[in-house]
Amino acid sequence: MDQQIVNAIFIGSIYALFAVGYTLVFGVLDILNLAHSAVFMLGAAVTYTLVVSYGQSFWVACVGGILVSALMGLVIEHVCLRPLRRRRAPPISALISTIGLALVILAAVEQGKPGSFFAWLWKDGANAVAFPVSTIPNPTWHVGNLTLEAVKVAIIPIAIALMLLLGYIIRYTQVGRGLRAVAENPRAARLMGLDVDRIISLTLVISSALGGLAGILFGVALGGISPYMGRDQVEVRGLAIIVLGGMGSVAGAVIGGYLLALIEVLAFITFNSSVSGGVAFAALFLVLILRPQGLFGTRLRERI
Amino acid sequence: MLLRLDKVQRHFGGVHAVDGVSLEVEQGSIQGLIGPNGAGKTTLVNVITGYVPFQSGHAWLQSDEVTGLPAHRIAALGMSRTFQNIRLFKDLTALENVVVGMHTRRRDDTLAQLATLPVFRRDQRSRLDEARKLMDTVGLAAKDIGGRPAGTLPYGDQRRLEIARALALRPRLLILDEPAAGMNPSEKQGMRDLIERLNLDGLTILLIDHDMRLVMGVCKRVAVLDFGRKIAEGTPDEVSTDAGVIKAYLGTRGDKEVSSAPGASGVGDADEPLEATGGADALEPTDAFLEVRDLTVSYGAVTAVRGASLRVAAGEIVALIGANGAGKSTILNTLSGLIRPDSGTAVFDGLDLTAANSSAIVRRGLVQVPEGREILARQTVLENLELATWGSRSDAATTRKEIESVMKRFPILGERRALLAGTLSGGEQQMLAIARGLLAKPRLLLLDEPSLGLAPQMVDEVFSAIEEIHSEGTTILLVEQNALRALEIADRAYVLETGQIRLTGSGDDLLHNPAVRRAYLGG
Amino acid sequence: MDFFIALFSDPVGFYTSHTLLIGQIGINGIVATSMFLVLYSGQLSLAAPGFMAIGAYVSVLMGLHWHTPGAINMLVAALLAGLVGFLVGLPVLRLRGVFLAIATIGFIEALRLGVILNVPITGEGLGLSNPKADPLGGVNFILPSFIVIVFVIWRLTKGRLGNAWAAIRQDELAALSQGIHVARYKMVAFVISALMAGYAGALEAHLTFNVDPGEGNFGVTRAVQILTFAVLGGSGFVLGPVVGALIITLLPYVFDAAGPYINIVSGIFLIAVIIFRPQGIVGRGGLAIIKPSWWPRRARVSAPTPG
Repeated sequence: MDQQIVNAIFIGSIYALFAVGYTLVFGVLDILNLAHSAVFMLGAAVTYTLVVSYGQSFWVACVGGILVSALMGLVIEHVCLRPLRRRRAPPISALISTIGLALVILAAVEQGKPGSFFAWLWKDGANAVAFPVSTIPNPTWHVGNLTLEAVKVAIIPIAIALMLLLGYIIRYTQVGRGLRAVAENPRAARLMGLDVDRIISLTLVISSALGGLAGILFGVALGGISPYMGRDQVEVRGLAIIVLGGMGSVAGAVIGGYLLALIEVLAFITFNSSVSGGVAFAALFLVLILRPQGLFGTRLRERI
Repeated sequence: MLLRLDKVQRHFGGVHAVDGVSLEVEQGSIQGLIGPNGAGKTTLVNVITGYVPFQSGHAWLQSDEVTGLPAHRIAALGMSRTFQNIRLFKDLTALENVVVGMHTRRRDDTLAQLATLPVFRRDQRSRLDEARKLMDTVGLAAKDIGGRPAGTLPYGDQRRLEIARALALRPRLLILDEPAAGMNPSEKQGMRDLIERLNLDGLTILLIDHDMRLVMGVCKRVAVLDFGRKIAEGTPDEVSTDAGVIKAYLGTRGDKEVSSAPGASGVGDADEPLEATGGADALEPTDAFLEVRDLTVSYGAVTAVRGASLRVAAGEIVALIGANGAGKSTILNTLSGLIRPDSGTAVFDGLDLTAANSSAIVRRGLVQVPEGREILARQTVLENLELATWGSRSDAATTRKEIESVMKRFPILGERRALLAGTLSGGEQQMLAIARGLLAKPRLLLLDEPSLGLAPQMVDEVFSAIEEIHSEGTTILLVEQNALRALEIADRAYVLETGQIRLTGSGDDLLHNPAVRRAYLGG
Repeated sequence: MDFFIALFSDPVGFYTSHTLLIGQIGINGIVATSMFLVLYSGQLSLAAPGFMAIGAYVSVLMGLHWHTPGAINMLVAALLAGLVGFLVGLPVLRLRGVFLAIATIGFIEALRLGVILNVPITGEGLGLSNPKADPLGGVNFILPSFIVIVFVIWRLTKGRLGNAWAAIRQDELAALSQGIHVARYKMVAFVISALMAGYAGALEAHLTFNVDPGEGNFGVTRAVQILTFAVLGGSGFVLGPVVGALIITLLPYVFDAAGPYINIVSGIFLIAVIIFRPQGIVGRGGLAIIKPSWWPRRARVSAPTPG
């Protein structure tokens, strides 16, 4: 039981890291970036390829993975989002254009086989792989009746540190204030002289970097790196988390991440493994019906 | 009695939007409901039409009690309405819009649809005929525009179409919510005629507007709301000379003798020729800090500003006055780079405002304090101020000093610095908005309706702050509905009506211009 | 290109040798129409795969355990899907825009992961084997159904119901002011759409020897595919999503060089269409029908209004 709690905390950290990026974009742009889970996967995939195909050390590969993810954030902004903003398109369009990009990214990796066009990116096609054991030292400790893997344990403070850092940036720095200003009222922000486009780009970069990092951490700790890992592991869970926590609320995403992990673990213990897969969705459904604004979101009302 | 309201109450948070309003509307009459912006008129309508729940009180449509019924039931009972911000079905054609209004009178034809075509065709034809007739009734040429998507129609036609749609319901009571907003005086006259015609045909009408002239000309009886309460009721003459009503519209200015509330007529249809004394052009500065020429701006089908030209010289306070919907805010938003004009030029200190990025415009020194304040409610006062220094190149220490000095000017902000901006009162928020504007180090400060929604004492404070800022050297372009206050402090002013500059002159001249007085200052 | 040559030079031969493809087109067409209906009434529902799953499993199970004839199975399955649609719709239709979309995603995945994969009778992860499947004969059933369904929905949009739906889609509050019972009409559209999707699912199960509970069949991936039909084709007119379905289904056959890259092409299509032609290929109103008011926004200043 305690082992499961530890697992929940560790996986909750990854969920939280992923969800924070998700909710950040929603908060600033009022848009669900459905390519976020594809970036999660891309971060892991690129890091893996750098280690296995290009022989890089894990740390170098990690930086590479994060950079590619951050870059993908810029791609999302410039390809999917900005053209729509320029055309005053309804927000739903951004939902669809990001779905399109996710499709492209997933398919590109899926087609990465030796000899194919995308072999430079990925060589394992539709298979799931894990980092070779030698990639990173991962001693196992036994404390009481708990079995602790170093990597999994290390993820917890890393994730928490990052989220605290992000929280600090948002609350106390000028950059963070700019983000909050645009999130709350883009028009007022513009009138105050803020460069809204630049702030939006920055938001996407931060969000995608976090998403990619979450993917890397997931891949390192749990393996299962495949083109489908984003879609299977975090796509709908991410939605459940941000709905639970309140869309647009960073604190909500963090709490929601841990909460969902805990709920899943409890469901796993109580029922069995396959039901726990549906837990996220049941939670999603219930929250939307009972309290659509989640824990920290605000009630929405249309003016007549 | 067709409509009876009994002590209707509705509040939001701590604000009493509708505070115990009782009203009776006689069958066959035109009842007016007026009041300054924010008086609660639209909220009242939303409550009795079922969009917002009653908190207490009752309403009856003849013998049917409508208290607490859902909106579609109330409509089905025969209470039909139009909306303040037009709510047409934009992508449906004009005729289709009207046909939707017939929904409650149509039988469900699902089976007929699937089985026999000819029957359906016949019904549809008669519906379309009726729709065409309704469009004619409201003065729209069904032949020409019936097949066009409603969103592409000119603004005035859209307003009329919304009425046609409401009529398709064959209502017992028609509620018109600001049907003439954004119209020029001649369009307003047309709307007046339409309303009268509809009433002559036997339709009972409840007309809500804040434009005195429209309401006075058409309604037999008028009720006045202010801050959610009914403060007067009677014939138009009685109401417009009621002291309480005048005070509500103008605020406390004891030294001004006013005989009637403003808005009784527009400048555009004055009998006297429109000439500002002293010759307007002679007053316009030759060396302009801000120069706007022939600016034309539209939103979709609506041309909000038409060929407007104005000039502001360094160190002046220039006022831009005009009614709601005249286009004043549109001009300011174009100057700030939020909207691009269709044509015309606007140059500020060498920078082409029609092409520049909004942050570049702010950096150059043209800063707007927007209508409705637009402060960031969920951040503290201090954070709001800190954000205003976002683009500034100064270091942290200088910034802090600047913020301190601004807080000295508006001590209330210093006191409330750690509170969420959303918790401040309207007047305090206005101070915050101005302070924020000042922190951007403006050379030209644009103020959009700074007195909107403020209690008279706050208005005094805000205006003395404006004068103080001006005396320290900031050039100011002030847009105001409250013409009295604006003209009192302005060096020069422009009068904007339905998107066009109608008049210009020195503040003093306009203050004494008879047409302006009648239109904007009351008697 | 040989594909089109075959089609036009020998239609009958083409038909007999491509029955599965044509069957799939018919099914996708029905599902696309189901999507059309919810979008036409202003609801961004992605629940179709869930109803398809219900249709598929119920009809096959009935055939396996009760030995009832195929037509009855499909009918009952569709009705059941409609019933579930009603039950799901009750709490869910209050939600607007993206919230509704997310809730429906929650529904389909909860159904798939929570129920289907855990209830032994469905064969769980291995899928349900359907020995009574009729891949070749099924087509003769599918095409007529498809035509009838499209016709029915088309006629509905022309009548009082369709009028009300169009009004609701444009502006729910204004629709209320015209006496339209918005909640009821939305439910009607949702349930009919569920019926159609359930029926399509039953048809599809009839074509295959194994009902596969995978992501691509009854999960989010399928939902996205169906959404793509509507976006590509445009949802202002009945045939829009059908055209979208046609194009997407045929794509791998027409561009067989594309083969493995079909998804990349689909994704690029999606982005390009939504940016450059949001109303879709057939578009009238199209995607523009999804109003900003559907979208949850905090108190924001919308575009400045005249004045």
